[in-house]
Amino acid sequence: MKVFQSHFQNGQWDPALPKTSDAQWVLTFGSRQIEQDSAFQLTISETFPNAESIGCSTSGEICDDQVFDNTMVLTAVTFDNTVLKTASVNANENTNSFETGKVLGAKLDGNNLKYVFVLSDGQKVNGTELVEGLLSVLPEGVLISGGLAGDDARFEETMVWHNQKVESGLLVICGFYGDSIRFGHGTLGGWDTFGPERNVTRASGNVLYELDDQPALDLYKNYLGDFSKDLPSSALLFPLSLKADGQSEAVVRTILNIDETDKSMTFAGDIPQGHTAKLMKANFERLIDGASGAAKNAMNSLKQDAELAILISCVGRRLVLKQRVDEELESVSDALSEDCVKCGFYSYGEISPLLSGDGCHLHNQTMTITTLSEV
Amino acid sequence: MHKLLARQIKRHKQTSQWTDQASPLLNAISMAYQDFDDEKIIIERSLELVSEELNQRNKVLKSKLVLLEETHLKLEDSLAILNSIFDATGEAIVGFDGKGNLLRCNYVAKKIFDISVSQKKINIRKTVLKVSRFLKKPGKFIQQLRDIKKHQNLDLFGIFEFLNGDLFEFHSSAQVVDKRLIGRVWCLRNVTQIKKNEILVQHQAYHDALTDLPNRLLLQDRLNQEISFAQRSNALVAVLFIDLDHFKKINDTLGHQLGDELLIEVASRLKFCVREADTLARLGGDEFVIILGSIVSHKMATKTCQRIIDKLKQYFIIHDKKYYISCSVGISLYPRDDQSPEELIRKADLAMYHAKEQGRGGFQFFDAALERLAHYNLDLENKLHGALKNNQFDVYYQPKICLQNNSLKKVEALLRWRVDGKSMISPTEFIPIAEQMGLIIPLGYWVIERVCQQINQWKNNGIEDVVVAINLSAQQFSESDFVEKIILTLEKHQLDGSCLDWEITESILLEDLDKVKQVLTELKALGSMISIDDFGTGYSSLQYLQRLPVDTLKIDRSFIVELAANPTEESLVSGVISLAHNLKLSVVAEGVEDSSMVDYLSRHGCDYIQGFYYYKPMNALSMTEVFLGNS
Repeated sequence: MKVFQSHFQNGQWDPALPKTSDAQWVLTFGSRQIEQDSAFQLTISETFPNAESIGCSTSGEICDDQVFDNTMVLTAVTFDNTVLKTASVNANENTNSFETGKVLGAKLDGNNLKYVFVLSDGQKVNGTELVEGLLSVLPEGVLISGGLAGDDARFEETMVWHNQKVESGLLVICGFYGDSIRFGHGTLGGWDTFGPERNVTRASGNVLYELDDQPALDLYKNYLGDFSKDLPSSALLFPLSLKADGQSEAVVRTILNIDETDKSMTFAGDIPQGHTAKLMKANFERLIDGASGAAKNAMNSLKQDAELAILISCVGRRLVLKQRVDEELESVSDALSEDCVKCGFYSYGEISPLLSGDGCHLHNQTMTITTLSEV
Repeated sequence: MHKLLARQIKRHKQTSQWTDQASPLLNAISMAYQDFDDEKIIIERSLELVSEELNQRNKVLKSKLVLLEETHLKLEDSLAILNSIFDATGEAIVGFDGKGNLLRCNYVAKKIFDISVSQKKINIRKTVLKVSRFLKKPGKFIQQLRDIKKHQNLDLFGIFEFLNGDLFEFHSSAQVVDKRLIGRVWCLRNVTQIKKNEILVQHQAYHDALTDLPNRLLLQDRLNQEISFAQRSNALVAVLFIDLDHFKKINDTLGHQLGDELLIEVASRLKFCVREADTLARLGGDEFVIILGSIVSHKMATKTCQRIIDKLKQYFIIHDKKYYISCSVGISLYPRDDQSPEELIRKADLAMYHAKEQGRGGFQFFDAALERLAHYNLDLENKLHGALKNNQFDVYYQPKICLQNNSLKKVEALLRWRVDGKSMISPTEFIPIAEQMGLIIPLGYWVIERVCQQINQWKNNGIEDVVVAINLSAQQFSESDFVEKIILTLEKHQLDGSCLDWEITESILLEDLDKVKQVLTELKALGSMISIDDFGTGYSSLQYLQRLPVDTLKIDRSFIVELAANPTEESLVSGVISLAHNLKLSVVAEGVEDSSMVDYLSRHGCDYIQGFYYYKPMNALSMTEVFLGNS
């Protein structure tokens, strides 16, 4: 397995692209304006004629241990013994995200399928339902990871691309086949909960209306104070920790949008009515430790040196860490092997199994890392 | 640029040239300063809001705590009430947990099973041993526990018999929550008295309360048994119906309590007269029935009757006083007289009535003639119902001739009944029935009314000063407003009481003598005469002749009929006549049929003669003609 990475910034590739490459898989994360440029697309298709090319818009694209905006990070992978199949579907074609997940998952042949990487629109899809849809059709035990596209922190429109298609609402899936491919995964948050436990008294799907019988939006506005004017992005400062009654493991939910008319808030995953919720806040050191921990878990579960690491981190972390976001990437970089190529993006949702490795879930506010190599 | 950074640059006197050069770095530092400020603002605000929220929640919790404490107090109160109810209930209640450990038991249970409060941990095994010690049949109890062990949700009901004879009804039910056995409750109730009462009630249902003899229900049951037994063994069954003679009088004059004591004594004497296996029952009042089962001949019944009659003839001593009583017995025989128990009792009853008619103190077997008589009487009774309305009665008159001057001023009114204009029915037949029916009261008034009309009619015909004798029955006497009605009738017809002569029999005098005296005195006050009818047949007590305002004695026809044949009758009649005269009473001889009797009576100073020798009873028209000298 060979990995080539180049960063496209201010119209220049650094390093320069090869004349032609037999890479089978090209990942491009970054600006949708660049992606939509036909000259750019032509360059990619001419340079990587054999490759399945996928990617998405971001809230910051990761190149090695740095994050960039309005650029494009290209990573091309040449597998020795692994077969790759891709498919895509538009969320607008289906009644709900569960159906979308089912349709998308069904496009892959389940035989000898080892790993699935998925990129999804970050605004029009309920990530929880998407994962459930995928799980319902994919063979049991197949590892799924991926993420939801971002659009800086505007929460307006995200895009996903698959070869020539560049669409809002698009979802793309990659299936990896063969006995050589190896994967590792790690996902950690590092946020602290604070304040009292609250009951989700009114919610529907991923839309939250009331906590403890009070409008959820009012609560957020109260806590944000002057920062309310920056809603919905400022709500990322206070993600929500959700727990089903009697369960110990909590999931973290991040805000996607707000609606002033009915004082509701839309989250990246389900907010089941009856669950208890707690506000969360950032602790810089723990966020950075979390990222490092996710990298270590991804390494340990791979059980050999990683050749490629795909980092998908939540936009909320970037908004909080601000300048210190580089520290997060550096700590990941330190935990991975030196010659491991790192790509990825800041997202509106992360998809990966929990630490224990069972199932697959939508996460928010985490650093989620998938490591790949071949034997 | 962040204010702090600007001040730092100024304090360290950096040139603008330096700041221009370091601009990107300074911007980054400035932003970092700003980020930390923002972060601090958010954290401080969050802290404040969180503490405010927590304070609010604390307040809510505190008020909830107060409520909770109040509820707790209320719960304690109601628990105390429940505990006292638990202890106060008459039932013993014992509760075990799912493992068989004693959880709770109330005061009654502790007392019964001798469980002390200090015995905290008592398991089922210990309790079983403890309870078993109290039971008559512990084996049965242990078997029941085994059943429970096998079927844990079993509900048990039953009765424990304690060694001391107490009976406890128990109920044991499993306590199951969500199909999980959490315990078992035993409730026990002392039903000793209830069971005793049940037995008593059962006994009372079949026995007479006063004498504790079998009652009518048990009698019928026993008679059924005897009949079916006799059927198989070709034996006879005799039913003896016993009625005490004149018992009502004892009750009325001596009081019910004494009457009851007498009945108890009678019952015990009757028991003495029958075999152990025979049934002696009391039907109520003074009626007893004896079943003699499996007898070979009716002679056995005869002997028993005689024994009974003799036994009851002997005086009774109640409250140190002697009392005499007799009884009449009717006998019916299975299978001769009937097959059914009810009919056998009815026929014995009928025979008993016949025995009474025959003069009491005797016994009588049922026979078909008796029954025919009974049917005849019943037929008469039915006909009597409509007789008055249908004008079937008539009043006849029989003159009493004064022997001194052969004058005719006195007549006796006699009731006659002709059914459907055909045969005449004798008063001796229908009067007793009319008395039984209560018809004698309206019939009596009808006669008085009729007689008064007739007296006036005679007056209209110029026949003056006629005195008409009217017979009075005991029932008429007991009418509270009898004299009042007589006065009204006399007033209505504008007659004086002296035109009437009231004939009463000696039997009336056996009723309440004071009451009789009062009525007679009142009648006498109206100017009427009083005669004693059928004198000599009854008690003929000289005492009442002195005490009562009597004018005349009527010597019963039986003495007069015998007069010619039997010389002793002569002296009897002459004795009565002189007795009457000594008491200043006049004498009427009834049933005089020939001249020799007239001579005799005339010789002995008899005052009036009544009989066929002079006149038969006749209707009003004929009587009027006799008065007018036309016949």
